[in-house]
Amino acid sequence: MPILETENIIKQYRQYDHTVTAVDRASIKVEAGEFIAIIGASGSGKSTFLNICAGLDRPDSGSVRIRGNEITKMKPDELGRFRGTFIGFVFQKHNLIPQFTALENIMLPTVMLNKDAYHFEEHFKKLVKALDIEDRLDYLPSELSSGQAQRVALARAMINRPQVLFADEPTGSLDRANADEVLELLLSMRELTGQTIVMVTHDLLIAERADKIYRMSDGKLSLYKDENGYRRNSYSDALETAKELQN
Amino acid sequence: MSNFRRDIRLARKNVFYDFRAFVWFFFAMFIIESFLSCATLSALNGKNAAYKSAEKNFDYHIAVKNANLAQYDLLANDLAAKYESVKYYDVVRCAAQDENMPSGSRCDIYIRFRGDVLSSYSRFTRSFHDSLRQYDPKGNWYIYKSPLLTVLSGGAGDAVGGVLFIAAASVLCVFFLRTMYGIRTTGFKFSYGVFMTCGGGFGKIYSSSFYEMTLIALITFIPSSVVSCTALKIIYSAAGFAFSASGWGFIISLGLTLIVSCVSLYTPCKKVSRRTPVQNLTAEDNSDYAKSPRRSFEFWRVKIPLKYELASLFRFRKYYIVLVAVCTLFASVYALSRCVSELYLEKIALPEDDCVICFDTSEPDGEGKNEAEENGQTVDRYYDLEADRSVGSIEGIKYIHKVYETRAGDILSHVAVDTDAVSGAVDTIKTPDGREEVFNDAVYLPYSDAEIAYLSGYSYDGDLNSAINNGEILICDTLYGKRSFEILPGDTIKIAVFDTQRRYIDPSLTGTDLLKRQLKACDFTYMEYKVGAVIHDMPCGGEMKIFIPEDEYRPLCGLDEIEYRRVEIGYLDEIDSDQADRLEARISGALAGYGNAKISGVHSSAELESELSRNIYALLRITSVILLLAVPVMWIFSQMTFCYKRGKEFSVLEYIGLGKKTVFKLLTVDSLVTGAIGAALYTIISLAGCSALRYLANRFLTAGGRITYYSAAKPAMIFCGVCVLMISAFAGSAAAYHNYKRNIGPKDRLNVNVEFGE
Ligand SMILES: Nc1ncnc2c1ncn2[C@@H]1O[C@H](COP(=O)(O)OP(=O)(O)O)[C@@H](O)[C@H]1O
Ligand SMILES: [Mg+2]
Repeated sequence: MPILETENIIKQYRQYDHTVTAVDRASIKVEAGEFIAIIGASGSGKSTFLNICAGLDRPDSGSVRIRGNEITKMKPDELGRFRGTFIGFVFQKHNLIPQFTALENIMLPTVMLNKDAYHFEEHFKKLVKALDIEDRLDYLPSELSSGQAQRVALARAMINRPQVLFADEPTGSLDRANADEVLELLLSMRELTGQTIVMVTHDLLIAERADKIYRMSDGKLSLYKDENGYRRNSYSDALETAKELQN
Repeated sequence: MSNFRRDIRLARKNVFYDFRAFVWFFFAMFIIESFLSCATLSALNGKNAAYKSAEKNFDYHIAVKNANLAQYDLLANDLAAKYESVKYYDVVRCAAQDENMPSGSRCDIYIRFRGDVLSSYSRFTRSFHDSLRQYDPKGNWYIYKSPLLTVLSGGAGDAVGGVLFIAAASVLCVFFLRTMYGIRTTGFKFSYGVFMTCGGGFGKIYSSSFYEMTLIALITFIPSSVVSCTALKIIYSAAGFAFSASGWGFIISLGLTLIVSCVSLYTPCKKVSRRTPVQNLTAEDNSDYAKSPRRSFEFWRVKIPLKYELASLFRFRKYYIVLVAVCTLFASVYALSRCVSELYLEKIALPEDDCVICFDTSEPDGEGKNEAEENGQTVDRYYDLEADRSVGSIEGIKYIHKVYETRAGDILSHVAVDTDAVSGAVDTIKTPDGREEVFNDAVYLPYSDAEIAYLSGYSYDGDLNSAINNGEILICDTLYGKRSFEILPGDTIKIAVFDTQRRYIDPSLTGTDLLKRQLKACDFTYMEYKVGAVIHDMPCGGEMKIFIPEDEYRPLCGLDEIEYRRVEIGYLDEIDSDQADRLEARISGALAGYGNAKISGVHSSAELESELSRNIYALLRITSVILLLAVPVMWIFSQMTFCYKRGKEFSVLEYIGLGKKTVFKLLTVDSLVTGAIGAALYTIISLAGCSALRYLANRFLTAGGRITYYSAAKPAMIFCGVCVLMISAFAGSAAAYHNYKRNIGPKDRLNVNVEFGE
């Protein structure tokens, strides 16, 4: 059974006098443990799609099943608990709560789910060690560099040992070196926990590390590179994609 | 447990990290707690205060009124009264109906209980009721319980009043806190979005909000208790009441505060948790950034070019409408409660009757009647000339007002006046001959020269003395406390006197229908009367009051004798309660032959009542001020939060070169326009509300009373509310501008999450 399965997701926005179809009948199947990258031009609907997959947003129609649970039919509170338990999410901006220290930000999901902190102690130690933020735990987000902040956000997304980790351009606001470092960390954490990763990225170099690459274009999702490295599209298409991603 | 600790820590973090935002919740909580503890403390103190002030006016618990000598002997020389050791009551004094107290005369015996008053009282009734009866089986003696006794046994009504007051206060507090927290949740959606992304739902958001409020409530608890305690102490001692703050009062008010938080947080939290996390995370800025500074908008298909400032006001109209509406509402509640307190003040200022005599009409039937006749007693007497003479000769009486009234319609009569003089206040119709414009919404009351002292207590135009000498009539020119007739002293009024009836009149007809029928069925003679004086502030219902000299009155109403059954007596101002008791006894003595006369002295209880009114007045005053304080708190907090969200818009303005001056202008225009709208609305609402209150008070609260309420909105009160609204609006924008100026450069602001504290 695929860990994440979506069928014909549609999401439209009304803007003044016309409607924008941000996601247009997008379907995807992700097996447990896979690393999926989604690429596409800015405004093509990647974030919208990812938010819907992670249960942060509701589609207009279509279904999203995570571990076989239909999340579009859940009540808000039920969905909240489900998110806290099975899903981790990393935003492009770190979205840390400014009044909480790094430690408190990381532990936020456990507080939200009323779980005792000691259950997470070992995991927490491993995480902060791997992410190299052990000496920054008492800092406020405003006192962290953007790379550090993003790593704290990563730790926050992973503290509950979620089965699926969604990341929306997690390296988008970082420089090359930081971006690579965060990616390496993500991959090594994946080794550690064996979790599924669905990542939206602008960066072809990062996307190339994924098992599969999907491409989003005007809200339509298509497979760009499968697990065997076989590109399903023509050369000109590839060139266009590369151009899109350049800007 | 550790979870609970973490929740508390989360709340603490929120409150103190965002202190600049939360400081307004400290103010709000302070206001709420002060309000609630004022309400509960005074409700709990009510009985205490009532007893203390009853003690000032009454030195006795009961009075055996109209007692004979044998009864006096029984009580004064009882065994229990003689020996100190077993004594449980004292005879405070005995007021004789005749100063010289010849045997056969009667007196009032004033008794004060020792020890536990209520049990002494029941012991007293057990031991004496039967023997008192034996000594005077058919006499008119009775036991009067003074307020000093009744405050101890009664008080259920007060408790209900107190609970209602507390409930009303709580509802207002809920509304206030709900508004405040609503502002917070809309201004801080980002944090809630993150909470929800991390697995939080309504429960978590609600509980953390509740802990935040609880924390603040606990911190402000002591200062607010001190303030409300001091304020109440000042109020009560100014009114001459005792005040002791009961510990329960504080506990109840803290509990109420928590309940209020519980209730008021529900909707804002529910609203934010119903949104998806993405909606909360991205809705951090609803300002659409800067619209073109030279924007125009369409209004009824007409394109109206606008200054940027006005356009922004229009753009955020929904927000501003809610803000102005809520603040205006609170200011108006302030005005209304001030108005109610003014009504109380008027009630306090009005002199009340000191003694009321009622003549029972119910005749003793069968045996009782015969017995009474055998004894030579006359049953069913009324306040006749003889009674008037003997009561009138008692010294210390200021006025005697004999009450009698006849409705015009009941004696087939009506009044004719100029149409201009009536001006639509009552329904008039034309007589069949078309010569007169008449109405029957009138009551006729007799008056004599003894009444002058009573009538001169009202404000009037004309000369009462010459009016009575010349046989002129007096009229009241108000209906329900509102001036309704344009009649001046010297004008004439025609009163119809019924001559003959030619046709049948359906007895079920009333009002103008009756008048129409009467005009068709009867012949009338119109008597012309000159108006000697016009009284302005006597309470009148929907009917014109016309005072007619007794001599004219009797033929007009077809009476041989006017049977006065109620007489209201006022004492001279210098009479104290001791003398009042004696006066009352002498009045009883003067009316000894009138078996059905019931004399009730209300001198002391009237005084007590006016003190209680003063207490309510003061409490209303303080709560109204508290309500008014809520306005700046809501306005400033709301503006600060809202403008923080507009930070990015302001930054864009700076980028395109408009800069700080534009922002200042924008905020100033906002504050001036919204403040002015709020002030105008407030003025309209409070003026209308106050006159409505006055109307209701005159309509429903003056039944049988002697007061006409005049106070409508006082200019000072309107001015105060207007000032508070304008200043709040201005302070809100000023605070927002200050915040904006303090901030880092525009570039940084564009990148941060738009929330406090970042
Ligand atoms: N809240 C919203 N309201 C209206 N339109 C939106 C909203 N969010 C996204 N869109 C529109 O949906 C489309 C896809 O947006 P998004 O998913 O953010 O693209 P991407 O992440 O690929 O850059 C864009 O055209 C955007 O303008
Ligand atoms: Mg995006």
